[in-house]
Amino acid sequence: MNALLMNGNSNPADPRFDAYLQSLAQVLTAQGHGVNTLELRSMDLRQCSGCFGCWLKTPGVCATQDQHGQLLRAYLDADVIVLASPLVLGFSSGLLKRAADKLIPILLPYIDASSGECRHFLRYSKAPRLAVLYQDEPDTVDEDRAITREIWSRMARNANTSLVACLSTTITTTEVAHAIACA
Amino acid sequence: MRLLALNGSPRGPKSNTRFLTDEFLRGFAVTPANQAETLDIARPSDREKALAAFWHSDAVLLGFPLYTDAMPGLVKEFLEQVATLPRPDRRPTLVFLVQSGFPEATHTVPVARYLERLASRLGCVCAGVLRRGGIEGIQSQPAWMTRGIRERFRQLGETFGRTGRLDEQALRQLAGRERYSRFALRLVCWWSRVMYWDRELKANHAYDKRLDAPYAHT
Ligand SMILES: Cc1cc2nc3c(=O)[nH]c(=O)nc-3n(C[C@H](O)[C@H](O)[C@H](O)COP(=O)(O)O)c2cc1C
Repeated sequence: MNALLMNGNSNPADPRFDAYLQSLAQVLTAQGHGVNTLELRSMDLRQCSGCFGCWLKTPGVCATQDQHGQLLRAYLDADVIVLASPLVLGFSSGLLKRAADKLIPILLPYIDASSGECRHFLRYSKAPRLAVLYQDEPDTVDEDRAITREIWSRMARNANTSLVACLSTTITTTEVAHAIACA
Repeated sequence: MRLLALNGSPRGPKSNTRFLTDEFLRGFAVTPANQAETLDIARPSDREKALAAFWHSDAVLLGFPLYTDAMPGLVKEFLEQVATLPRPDRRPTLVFLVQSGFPEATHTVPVARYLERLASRLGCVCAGVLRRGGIEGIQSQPAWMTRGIRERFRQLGETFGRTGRLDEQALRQLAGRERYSRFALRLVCWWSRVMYWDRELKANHAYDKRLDAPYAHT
């Protein structure tokens, strides 16, 4: 299995989260899995401008000159995507969300309603599974965890795939690796 | 009441969010003492002004398009900055506006739940979340087709301007049906393809490339 760890920690002053992800990468590697980590805060990923150029002008390619190509290639290379970030204001970071917005070129503009609800058809035949990894804030409550899970599972549905896990860094990296790899 | 209206669409002043916000503000302005300022947070200079004004308004209306089932990254990063600023004892009442491309109301349910929780986390009263689907394309539709929806936003703005509250039932009516029938969905798929996507692709000379997969494995 190839895992892509999308590190959406926007606060380099807090080393805990990055250290946790590093340890997770080591565990996965030791188990024989491929691991690619993208540190989103060091990448040049501009906000999606909402122009739909990636659907209607240069299909599959974002109009912005930034590192979206690296992100899309890494996404399509992986079997599992780990959407990782500390919770900020009760949800994944804005940095991680900015990167998620840049994934819409993997979809076609055309709408598929065969499941009884609208979503887009996929541009590629491959749809990696999604997992969410978060670090609690001091005031995190179950409601925040439930909302985070609910939003990302909707996003997984829209990306024609499934959310296989939504886990907190309070469990060990071995347990996280197991949950991701066995799903 | 002094209302700060923030447009969280990355498309800025030409966005659908701004179009609907303007209708809400038309209704809001019916009450003579009301004042409103609109800022586009996609514009760096407006964003700075929005940060400075956020905690000092009586009410803040934050509108945005649904992006991958939640708020755009732009909006989340803005909110994270807002939360780092010193908060006065008297906090603004928050109103949210979320509109989406897909027509069903189910798509905006989780983010609305988030927004209500966010308001309480920030110590603010949430007057309500205006939700509406099927909005992409609204500005190219003839006025008669959009009259009903514009009127709804105006009405909600008027009620809020008069009472500082929003009516639950009016919000539910605005959000519309949770789900659509198979027939209606088939119509949505066909209509959006023929009347919108394919037309645009052809106008851009990109129709032949519409299924391109540039990052596929080789
Ligand atoms: C990156 C991106 C992601 C989107 N995700 C969704 C979505 O998950 N569900 C949906 O119904 N519409 C989605 N849309 C469509 C927008 O919500 C819709 O086009 C909206 O009317 C745009 O409003 P604006 O002009 O104010 O930006 C998405 C659009 C973009 C550009």
